[in-house]
Amino acid sequence: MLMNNRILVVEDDLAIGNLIKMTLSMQQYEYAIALDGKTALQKVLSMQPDVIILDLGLPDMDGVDVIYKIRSWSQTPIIVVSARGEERDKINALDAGADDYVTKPFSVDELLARIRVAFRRLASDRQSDKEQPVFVNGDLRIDYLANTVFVHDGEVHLTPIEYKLLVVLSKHVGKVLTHNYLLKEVWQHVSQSDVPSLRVFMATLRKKIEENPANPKYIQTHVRVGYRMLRHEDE
Amino acid sequence: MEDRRPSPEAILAKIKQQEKGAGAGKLKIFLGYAAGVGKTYAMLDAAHEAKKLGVDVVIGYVEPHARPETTALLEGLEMIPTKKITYKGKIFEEFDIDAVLERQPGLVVIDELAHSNMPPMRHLKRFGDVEELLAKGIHIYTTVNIQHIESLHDLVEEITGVKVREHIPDYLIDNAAQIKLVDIEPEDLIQRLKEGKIYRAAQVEKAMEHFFRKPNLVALREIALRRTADTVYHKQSLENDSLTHNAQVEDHLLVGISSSPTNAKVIRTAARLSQALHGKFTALYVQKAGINNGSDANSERLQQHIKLTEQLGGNVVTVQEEDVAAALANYARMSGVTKLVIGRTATKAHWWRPNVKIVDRLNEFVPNLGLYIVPDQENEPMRFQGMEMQLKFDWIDLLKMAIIFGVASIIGVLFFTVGVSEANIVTIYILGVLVLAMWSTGWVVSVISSLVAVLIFNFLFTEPRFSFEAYHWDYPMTFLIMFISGLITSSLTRKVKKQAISAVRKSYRTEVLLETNRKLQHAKSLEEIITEGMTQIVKLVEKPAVFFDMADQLIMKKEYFRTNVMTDAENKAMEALFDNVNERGVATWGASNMQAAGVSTDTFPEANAYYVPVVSGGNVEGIVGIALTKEAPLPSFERHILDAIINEFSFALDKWYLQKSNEEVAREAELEQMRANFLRSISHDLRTPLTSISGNADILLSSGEQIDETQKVQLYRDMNNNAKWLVQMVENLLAVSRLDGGELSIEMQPELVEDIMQEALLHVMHNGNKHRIHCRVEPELLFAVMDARLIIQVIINIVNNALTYTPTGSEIILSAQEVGDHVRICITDNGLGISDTIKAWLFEPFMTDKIYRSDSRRGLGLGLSLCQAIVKVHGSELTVADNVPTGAIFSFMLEKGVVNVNE
Repeated sequence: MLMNNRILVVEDDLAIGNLIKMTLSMQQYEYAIALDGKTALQKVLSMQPDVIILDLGLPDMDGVDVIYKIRSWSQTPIIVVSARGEERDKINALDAGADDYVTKPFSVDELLARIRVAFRRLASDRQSDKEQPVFVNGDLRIDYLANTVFVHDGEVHLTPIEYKLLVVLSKHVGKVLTHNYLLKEVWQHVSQSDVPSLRVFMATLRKKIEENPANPKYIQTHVRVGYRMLRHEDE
Repeated sequence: MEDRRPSPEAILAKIKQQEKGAGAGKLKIFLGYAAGVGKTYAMLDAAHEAKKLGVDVVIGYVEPHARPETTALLEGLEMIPTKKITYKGKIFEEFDIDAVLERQPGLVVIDELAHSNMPPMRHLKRFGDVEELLAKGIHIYTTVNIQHIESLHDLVEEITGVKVREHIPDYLIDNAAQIKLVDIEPEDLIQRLKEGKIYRAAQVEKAMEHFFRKPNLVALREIALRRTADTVYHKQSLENDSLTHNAQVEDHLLVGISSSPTNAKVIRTAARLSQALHGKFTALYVQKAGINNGSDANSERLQQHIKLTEQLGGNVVTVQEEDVAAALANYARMSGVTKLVIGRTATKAHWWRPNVKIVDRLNEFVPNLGLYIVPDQENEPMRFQGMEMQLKFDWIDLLKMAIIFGVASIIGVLFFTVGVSEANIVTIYILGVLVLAMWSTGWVVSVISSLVAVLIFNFLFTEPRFSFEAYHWDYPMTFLIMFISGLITSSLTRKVKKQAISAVRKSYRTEVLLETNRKLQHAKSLEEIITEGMTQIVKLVEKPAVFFDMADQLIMKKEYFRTNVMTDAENKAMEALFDNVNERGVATWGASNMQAAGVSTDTFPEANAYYVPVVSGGNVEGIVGIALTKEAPLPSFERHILDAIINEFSFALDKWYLQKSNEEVAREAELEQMRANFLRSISHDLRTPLTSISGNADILLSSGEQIDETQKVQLYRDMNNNAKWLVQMVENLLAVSRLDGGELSIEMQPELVEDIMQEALLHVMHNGNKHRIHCRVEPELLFAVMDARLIIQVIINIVNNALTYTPTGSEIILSAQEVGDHVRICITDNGLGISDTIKAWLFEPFMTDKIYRSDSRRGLGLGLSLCQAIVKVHGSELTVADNVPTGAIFSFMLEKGVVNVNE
């Protein structure tokens, strides 16, 4: 896990910057701080970070634009920091290519958890650089070739839509996918009125693959934003 | 035809008001006493002067066949092209008002104020165009000849013998900002005429013989000079109120209004007299009970006379009285009238009353009053005309007569054979005459029936029977008495009948008005007011009508009100009519100029409906359009009620808007109060945790070494808890601001209830206490319509409260159930419960300090009152009940979300 742990923190507020710095150094992560968007972009090039923590409210440019710029050449996981209540900003950031978000005020534990998720995604991406025919995540196993899904080695019967949803989530494991993205991927068109349908399918899907749907292990709900599949270590 | 121009007083007030504010147009009139005095020349000259001073001058209209000197003056002035109109095969050039309105000049020059426009033009008269431009703030130069002034035109006619058809109302002259009298010696004028400068040679000869005779010109010049002098006085008195209010110098003239065709002349004379005396004049209309609804021609003429009086600046008063002389005398005495103007033959003598002239009777009543008698010989033939109308004999009446007298004769013969006396048989015939009078119309029938009754009686019952001879000497006496009593009986009956009809119509009018009033009073909403008002109008006029909802002088909405008198197809056709662009144009004009337009007005008389603006609080809220045709305009009787209804309409709207704005103010005040309360309780609630955090940090910074580890942990934990509490506080504040932002900031969507509960539980403050929290949603996949963030906030607040106020280890259950087409959300705990006294004000925000309890440092009030507000936005109410055996249940309802699963 501790192979390459460079983190770039883009944060203009000194107090929060300090907090994040302290947290990261205690976990022995290697880090750098950028106070504005331009420095951030330079540092992404020079430092080649493994994870980027990006505050959306920057003094010189729009955080979403920073994401677009980074995504034009790099797939480095980006965790966005935003104020709660501005779902629109989060969704824009996610649609622009961000992987995850934390909401201010966030706890140190929360931030560290997100960073771990990001590294795990990085690790699994490296593993499955070549398209794997089988996706394994904890007790969940998806055979892309046979279109079958297993939990605890027992086959689970999914409807075509449920299966498609699961596949899309599994292909982006660790990343928060917005409602719009999922609708586009599964239904091929985006209409806000389809969001409730999406919720229904997501709920039925969970009932089938989660042991305790009230406390989901694989699929996480982000109210008003979207869903994410969590990566579990092989047990 | 009557127009709905505002009264002169209203116009005066308007002009006065406009003169104070910028943007009101000023009118300058170049007044001449005859053609050729050089008005147009003087006007164009003045226009050049104005242009030199930097005014944006355009020529709106100048007579095309002007004299060369005048035409030369057109050089260097911008001309607005005239509108070419083809009417009955001829081409006419008219002043193009719309082109001018679009051009928006500072000053327009328009020749010939008294001109009558050709039909497609919106105003009947050119002065209508002028008034509209003035109201839009455009200054105007115009010309007019003295003979066109309403109060003077018959005088001019008398002097010159030339009939003048085009009139302008006097108030235009009196209220003009400037009057420029263009004067020239009559000799010089005649010289000009001879030189061919006024008319072409062929016409000169004729003109010299008629109009342009020197005595004529001298008289006209005198009238023009005098009228101008009166205007000067009028202006001065407007500026100096004391002049008009000096009762001693002011003369008050009284004139009687009637439907007599010569009455107009009497009214004009009175108006001139009052102008000359600088007094005011009142026209009294004496309404007699029976004659109220005379012929249409008469009532139309009466309306014209009332309009004339108003145009001439007089005040119209209506009284109900049988005796005209007594009414005039009474009014004169009560209102301080100094002079009375009457026509020579103002009353007709009744056959039962000796021929007493009204003059003599007035002399008797008010011997001190000055009487001016105006000759009006033309009265005589008109009376015959009136009789002619009643002479019309209906053949149906003859049939009725045959039936009635047939029955009477049968009864008579029956009586005769039985031996009843002749006197009783006579009574039967008189009874027949009476019945006939009730059953038929016209006094001719009465006379004939009385005669026929006598003849039949003579033929059937007098000796010798079955001949028209009578032997007995006293029969002629019997016949005569029989005839006279028949005549009197029938005339009295007819009069009673007439009065009954007029009473019925009057009571109908009152009834409609009262009903309108009552219905409008009870109307709760704007829509109801409009529907009720319009329904009454349709009921009254028996024509379909439309209501155009206006905002910023644009038609927002059309609402059509059909009439049951017409078939569905006809109603449909009429409704389509109101979608016509032209009709809408007329309605819009009425709205932007706040005047009635369309049929029976002077503006767009060619339209297919009559449009009246409904004004409330100085704004046109709507336009009422009534489908009418030029051939069948509204009878004057109904027009009055219509006016009254539209008045009621305006009042109702005023009332409604007032009420609405009051409610708005009250709501605003309540919101303001709520904000103030929130601020007060928040600042209190913030201070407590902040004190704890900063205090703890202080201790740790200054004396960290002296504190042992367990104490330190306690301080850290307190800081952490207080900070978390502040975070929730900020969330609540955000929710408050969203509620404050109104519907726009609230996003209602069907949400999966389970997701919402899970999300809420992620944010509750566990604070390390050992509560057990469960979720129960039945059935699965339950959707509810909500703003997710606000409802999550509600759940967080209630659960946080439960965590704070129930003992450690208590159980908290979040549950959702389907109840019909709603979802009930419950948050149940098994703690100690809430006492009834606390329940009473649980959802109240902190109102005063007296409710504040020192033990509830976490501001319970704000959280729950906010929850209540959020739940109310969702159309429900947050309630609290006791759990069994102990604890509390908070619950609220949400609308169930219907999700059509889209595969």
